[in-house]
Amino acid sequence: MSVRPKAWLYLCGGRVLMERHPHAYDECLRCEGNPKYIEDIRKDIHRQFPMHEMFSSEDKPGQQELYNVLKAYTVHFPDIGYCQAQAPVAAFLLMHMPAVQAFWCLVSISNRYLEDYYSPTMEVVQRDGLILQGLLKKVCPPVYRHLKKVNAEPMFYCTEWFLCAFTRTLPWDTLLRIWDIFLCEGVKVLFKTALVILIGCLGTAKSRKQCPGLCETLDRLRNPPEDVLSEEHLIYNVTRLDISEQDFQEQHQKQAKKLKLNSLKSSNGSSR
Amino acid sequence: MASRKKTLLKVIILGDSSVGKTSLMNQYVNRKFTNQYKATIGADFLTKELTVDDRTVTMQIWDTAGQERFQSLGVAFYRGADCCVLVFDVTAPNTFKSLDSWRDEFLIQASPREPENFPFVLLGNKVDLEPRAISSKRAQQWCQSKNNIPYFETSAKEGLNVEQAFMAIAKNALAQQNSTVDLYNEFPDQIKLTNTQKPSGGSGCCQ
Repeated sequence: MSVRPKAWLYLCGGRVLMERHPHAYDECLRCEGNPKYIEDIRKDIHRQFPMHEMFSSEDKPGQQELYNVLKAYTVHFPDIGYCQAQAPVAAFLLMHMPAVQAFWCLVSISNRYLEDYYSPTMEVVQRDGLILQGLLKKVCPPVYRHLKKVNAEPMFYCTEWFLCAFTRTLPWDTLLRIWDIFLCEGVKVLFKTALVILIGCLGTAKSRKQCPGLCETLDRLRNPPEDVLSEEHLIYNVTRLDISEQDFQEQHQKQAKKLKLNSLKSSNGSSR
Repeated sequence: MASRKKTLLKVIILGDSSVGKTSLMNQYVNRKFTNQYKATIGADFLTKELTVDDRTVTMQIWDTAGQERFQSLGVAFYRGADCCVLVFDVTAPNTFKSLDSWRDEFLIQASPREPENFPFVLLGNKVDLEPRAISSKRAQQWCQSKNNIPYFETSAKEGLNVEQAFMAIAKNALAQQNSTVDLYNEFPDQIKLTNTQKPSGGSGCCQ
């Protein structure tokens, strides 16, 4: 058996949580749960990785386990409840480990790695989209300018990348490697991955010329060339990307402030 | 005065999770249906070229996530829409009850200049399924109460009425685009009027 699932459980802190609360998962399963969340989850369990052996039909164990893990989360964290983007993450974890372990990994990822991504207001994802844009401006100005020119807002291309931690984007081998680094180093790895994909898709003048408008540009970002997502290209470039801790911090502060201003402005605007 | 090279209609599909938004879009654009869709996270879009009253138009159809909390990401997607398609599942009463909130939320976030005249189209999907929970009459009454929104009963699975519905969507979007030049308070592509070729060696001109 691969050591990877074990390593992930230790790396993300899932193991510690599990040992601290040995009965919590089973207790959550025994609770009835909020009917609103249950309904949302039921609608989604057959819509995750439909081509994957584990989740391809109701008779397979995957769908029931996925339901259990997601439901348990809503019982344990009723304020966050269920966000649709958690389903692919949970399903991906279930491909590697037993349900109880997948549950604690999901808890750790939802509450620490991707803190507030899945909350009912989803504000943090929007902020992170802007941070990504800011970092892109620094790392590769031509791609930044191109996206501005065609009015491609970050939410158009990075929502699924970030919310699902690339589980729906990357080919299997690359995804495993990115998750290794992600669980080691945290959310910054998602930004770096996004930047490498953006640059890989639109980094050359020729590629930008092929994407003169919003449609073509988003199409390319949604279906990046195979070599851009390959393990060799992506991992190599993610590790050598030149962004410092300070760059992240600067962008973080800048965008958090901007978002606050914007939301103030728009709330004034709509009350006019 | 708006002079456009080609007419682009932006259409946005809204409605509760699992009512068939992605399936409708795919049936219309690709004439395909599968039971193996993935839940939409964020938004996705497809384009289709069609002829409306002898005019060739490109319809850009945006398919959105149906879960309520994703509405907060909506503003980026809703902006600039020419028509909003509301979808419910005729076998699921809750999806019908949510229509008011989807409509209201769209009007708040997209803020079209004349909200009372903004074109919506309502689709009651999954008519191939039993048992039926929302009758045609009830859906039509709702449409009448909202300034006579056109209503179609569709089955994305069987391709029933999908073509007709999207033709009506295109016509409504086009009529709306023709009747008001300034559809929105904020008009982001205004910039294009002065956006001439980038001078060689110039910088910072794309802001």
